[in-house]
Amino acid sequence: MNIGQRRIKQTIPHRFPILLVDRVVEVVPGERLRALKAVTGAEPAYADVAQDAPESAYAYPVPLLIESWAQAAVLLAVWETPNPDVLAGKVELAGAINDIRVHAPVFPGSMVEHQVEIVKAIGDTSILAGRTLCGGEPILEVNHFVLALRDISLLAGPESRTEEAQRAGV
Amino acid sequence: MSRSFAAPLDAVDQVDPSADGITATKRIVATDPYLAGHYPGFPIYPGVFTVETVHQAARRAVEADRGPDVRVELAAVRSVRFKAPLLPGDVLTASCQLRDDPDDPHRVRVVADCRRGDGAATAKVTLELRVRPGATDA
Repeated sequence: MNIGQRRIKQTIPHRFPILLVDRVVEVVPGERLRALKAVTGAEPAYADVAQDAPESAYAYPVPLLIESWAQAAVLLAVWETPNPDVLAGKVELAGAINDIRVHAPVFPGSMVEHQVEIVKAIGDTSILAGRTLCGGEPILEVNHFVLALRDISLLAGPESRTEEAQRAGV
Repeated sequence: MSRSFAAPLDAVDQVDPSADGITATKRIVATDPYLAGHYPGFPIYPGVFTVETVHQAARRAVEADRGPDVRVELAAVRSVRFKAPLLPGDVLTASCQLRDDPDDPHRVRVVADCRRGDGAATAKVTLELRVRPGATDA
């Protein structure tokens, strides 16, 4: 299986430069998904690294690696009910993360493979788990990741946030 | 502006020492790097960027404490509870407590209470940092 950017962008709302999944290589809807991401020195995260910084400075930022894994998780969660545009009304938000372990850094030139499994899905909430491999070795382990589909009308900015929304913490 | 490590953005505007750690603030602006794609027409500060805010703040605290010649890495995200979103115009304040691991001098645990300007809690974040001697390549 080899599913590229077109189907990915028809499924999730993330866009350049934070669309961090390049290709889906396996999907069993409701069950599991594998996706690839190529790490490159052309990403904005590397724009400001100092000329004299050591090689270790080029480790791909862990939060972006987690974001990339999480996008694979969103792809799996909404594979059959795509949500490519948040302005249409809904957005998948991370609700909780438990226990992500970072085993090794990855550097530009690496191809990583995200593996995601659905542990449980109840209504608009999904619990996912999985890992990220590089060259067959695990570099990230995700034990518990909660995604929830939220109505975007509840997400008001600071100027238009109502007291009700503030009390609800949204 | 240059950095000593790759990062998606400057995730802290200001850091101030506190009794048991550091307090960091970050004003969310729609022109922050990466936000154009997260999401088009509706920028939201990604949850992982809150993790990056806490990471960068804690990193500065560790470097201030142990000197600049240490290498600080994010070793684990123990837990994050996201409670409310951050949108452009919001100011994130991350109150970070740092605790050295009594059994391992190379580990530091960071617990951060994150709030926005209206006082609403946005996240509770617990991270584990690995601190290695020497910023240069071994």
